Amino acid sequence: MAGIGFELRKILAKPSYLNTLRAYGYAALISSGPWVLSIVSLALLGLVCRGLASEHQMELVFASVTYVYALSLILTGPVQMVLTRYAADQKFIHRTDKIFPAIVTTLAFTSALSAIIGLILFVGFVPAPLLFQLSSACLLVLVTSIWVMTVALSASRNYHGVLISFLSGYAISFLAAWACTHWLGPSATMLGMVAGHLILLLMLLRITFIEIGEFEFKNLEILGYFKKYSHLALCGLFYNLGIWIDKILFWFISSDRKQVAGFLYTSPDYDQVVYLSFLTIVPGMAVFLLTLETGFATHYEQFVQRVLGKATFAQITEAKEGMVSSLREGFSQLIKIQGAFTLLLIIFTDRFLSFVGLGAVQSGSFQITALGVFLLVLFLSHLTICFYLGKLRDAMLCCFVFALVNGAVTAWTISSGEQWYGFGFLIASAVAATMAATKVNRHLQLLEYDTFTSQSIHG
Amino acid sequence: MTKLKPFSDVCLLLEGTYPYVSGGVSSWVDQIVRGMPDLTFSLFYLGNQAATKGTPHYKLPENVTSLSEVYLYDKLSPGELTPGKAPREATRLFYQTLRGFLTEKADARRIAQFWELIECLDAAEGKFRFGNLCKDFEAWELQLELYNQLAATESFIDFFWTTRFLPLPVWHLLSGRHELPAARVYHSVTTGYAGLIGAVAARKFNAPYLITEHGIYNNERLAEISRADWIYEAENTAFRYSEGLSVFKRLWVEFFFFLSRVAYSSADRVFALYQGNATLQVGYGADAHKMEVLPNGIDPNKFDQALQKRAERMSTRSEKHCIGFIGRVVTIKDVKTLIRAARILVQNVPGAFIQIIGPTGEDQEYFEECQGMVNEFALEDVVLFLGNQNILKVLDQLDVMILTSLSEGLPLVILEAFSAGIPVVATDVGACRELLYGRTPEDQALGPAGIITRVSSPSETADALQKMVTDPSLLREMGVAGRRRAERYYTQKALLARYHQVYTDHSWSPKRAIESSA
Repeated sequence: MAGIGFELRKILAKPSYLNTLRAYGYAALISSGPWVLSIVSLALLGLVCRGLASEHQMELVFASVTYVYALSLILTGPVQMVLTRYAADQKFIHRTDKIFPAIVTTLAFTSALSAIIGLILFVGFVPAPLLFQLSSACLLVLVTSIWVMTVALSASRNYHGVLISFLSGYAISFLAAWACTHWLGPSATMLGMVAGHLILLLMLLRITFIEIGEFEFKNLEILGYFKKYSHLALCGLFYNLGIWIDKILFWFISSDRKQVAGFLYTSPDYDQVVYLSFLTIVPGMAVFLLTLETGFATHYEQFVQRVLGKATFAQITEAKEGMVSSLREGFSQLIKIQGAFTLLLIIFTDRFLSFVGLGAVQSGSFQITALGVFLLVLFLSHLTICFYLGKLRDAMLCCFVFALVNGAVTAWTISSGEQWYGFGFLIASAVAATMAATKVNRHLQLLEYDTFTSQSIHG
Repeated sequence: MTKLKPFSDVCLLLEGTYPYVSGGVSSWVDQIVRGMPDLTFSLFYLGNQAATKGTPHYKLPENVTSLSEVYLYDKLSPGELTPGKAPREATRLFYQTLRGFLTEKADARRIAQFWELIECLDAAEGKFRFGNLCKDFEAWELQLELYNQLAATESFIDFFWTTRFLPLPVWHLLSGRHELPAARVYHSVTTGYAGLIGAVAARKFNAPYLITEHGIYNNERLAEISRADWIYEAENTAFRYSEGLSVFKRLWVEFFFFLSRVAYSSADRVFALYQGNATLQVGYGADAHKMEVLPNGIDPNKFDQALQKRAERMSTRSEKHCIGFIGRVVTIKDVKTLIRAARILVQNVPGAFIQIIGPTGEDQEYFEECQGMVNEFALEDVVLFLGNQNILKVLDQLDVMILTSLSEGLPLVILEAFSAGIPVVATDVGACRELLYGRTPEDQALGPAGIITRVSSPSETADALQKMVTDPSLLREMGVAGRRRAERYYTQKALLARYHQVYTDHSWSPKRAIESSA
């Protein structure tokens, strides 16, 4: 028989669908959740140590811990995202055995890097007793490792164990810090923090090992992922940089800045207010993640199932409408709750500030940054949707713009006077939230087009 | 790709045949090319995938000046899959034309729009790539529009992939249009993809274009698609019974039918092997007044020795009657009907026996079933499987040739039997009736060269065989008629002469053949 007809069977192998990553949502929250916990424990520490150490010594601890958190978050920002992705991918292809070695390998790299940076910074540029310098460097290594572990655990969904580890870890940090200060003197406060964080890290390691542990500790495949998902890595970097850039600028270029010791600066007027506002992120993110989990994710799964399950186009679009309406519902709930919360804080700012021991001078900046956090929650939520839809490049661009605007406008507000403090963060959050919302909106509109046309004809 | 000379007398467009694949069509092409050493040929070969092409089955004769190869199911290069940046206006025009083309119902207008589409692609000068069809939003919108029009209640993912794969081979094919060799005449030996590129070539060079079909491409594809299990069909849907094919199968079928329609509409002359095929081709869109029946041919003199030896053998009366079946032992040849016929025949004609000559290994299961039947009917001495034999050496032993096929084109074995003076009993398929009884009145006047029987009818087959082997004078008359028919109407000489004529004298074409610049 002449003619070749077709031999498409081989070529018609169905393209595999990328697993979507629920863990992304948590990765976004992780950078704020423990930070919130540590602010609380630091504040408590400040209260109980009042009689034991001088104000300057407490300031040194505060500034050091703050630097450790800022540095570790910026440092692990890129790692968190990529590791999350790797873990989810391995899970999807049923190679969970490769996750643990990848985590250990990542830990080795981040520990080495953070140890070098910690030693240079604290030993080289912070005049303090050696015990303090070394334990600060140690804390940087531990906190960095904890971020890496938390990411790994966000995919494991053993929330209970993770929560208990965090609560007990911070409780021990708090108690040990107090005890060390009490028995060994102010320069040992950091040692107590180290002990608490070490126990937290070990607990997290234990949970991970029980769940997915292997006696195999090397997996260099993860390094290739940084190249492959450079958008994701940059996204983590820019996001965390964006969260911290306004504070860092206040430390180094503000006229109100205060040198604590050597390279350690604080900007008390701004810092306290912005940490406090940051605490308000909790209700909004909780609400959003809940709706994301119950509504949006379920609808997205249905969408994918219909696409693959030979549904008609009308049925596919219907599933997408379900996604959109669940998202709309989630956002309206988020806006209502976070909005009401923020509104209450703004109305009762003075009373609230005096309750936590801050002066009325800072009420303006507090109101502005509280509003900023409201918008940040919106940004973060849209960012999570971007990850869900696999729009990593757009997510990265949004984070880049967030960091850029925050840096630029904050620099300008610092030179323009106190009444403008906080506007950098507010405007950056507003711009980033608008940008992310526009992207999400567009991608949802084009979801069917994207879903189908992003598949290569050759499988 | 090797290009020896830029210009040839004839460009043959070959789909999955000569020189890479053996078979009836390929040996026909070989016959044509070797039979006209005074003409030069360029070959344009369409294959499946370059990786599986293998080595050429035929050694190319000296008068083949070039061999171009296009592989229709190869992977596209990453560059081709990256959308090109054609000017906005050109893109808009392309999709407008594509939309018109795809939604057009009237054939003639659709073909006209196809040519406009080619012009759009030419104008885009490679800036419009397959990646555009995959990624452009306009393409997606068009896909949705067609889906809503044709298959709104069907699986969308299957529609999406079907409509994305359909144009892939055509895209490869059209990319090959830049490689088309210049020739005086273009001749495609099928319709389908080869027909399409033949039409494109003829249009590009404004040269005469002819088609020869051995089988009917559309029918072959139709059979293939009906059987295909990789094309999605919703289960338990009523339309399968009312309309025969599912939406996706219909898409494929219509696609192939359209390829053929473009070829037929562009051809200046369409050759069929026999009248039955010509009628089918007209049904599929070929112009009745472009049709010409030109059967396969052989050299009857090659069989003179067999003819003589057989005549000597037949002159002595014998109770033994050798009936020969020459062909592969496969389902389509329906050997089982022959075995059933043998059982009936030997009851009336004890001296009759059947030699089955041809390879048995192609469908081992079928062969074993046939052997099982022979044993069951206790016909071990009557039905003999001889395997592959040199036909020239065995023909003289046959009294009658039998053909029980379910489907045939123009079987060469019948012409070989005729040349050796052997009458034939054959089923009413393909060109068999024309061969045995004659096509034109003049031809029919030569007398029957055998007996036509119904398909799958053991009793009719047995009756016909009995009638012939028990009547030596009938046998002789039919043998003479067959040999005469072969000599008069089915010679290779006549075949070559006619094609040589259409290759060199282009007065039959409205187009002026281009003159050699070489």
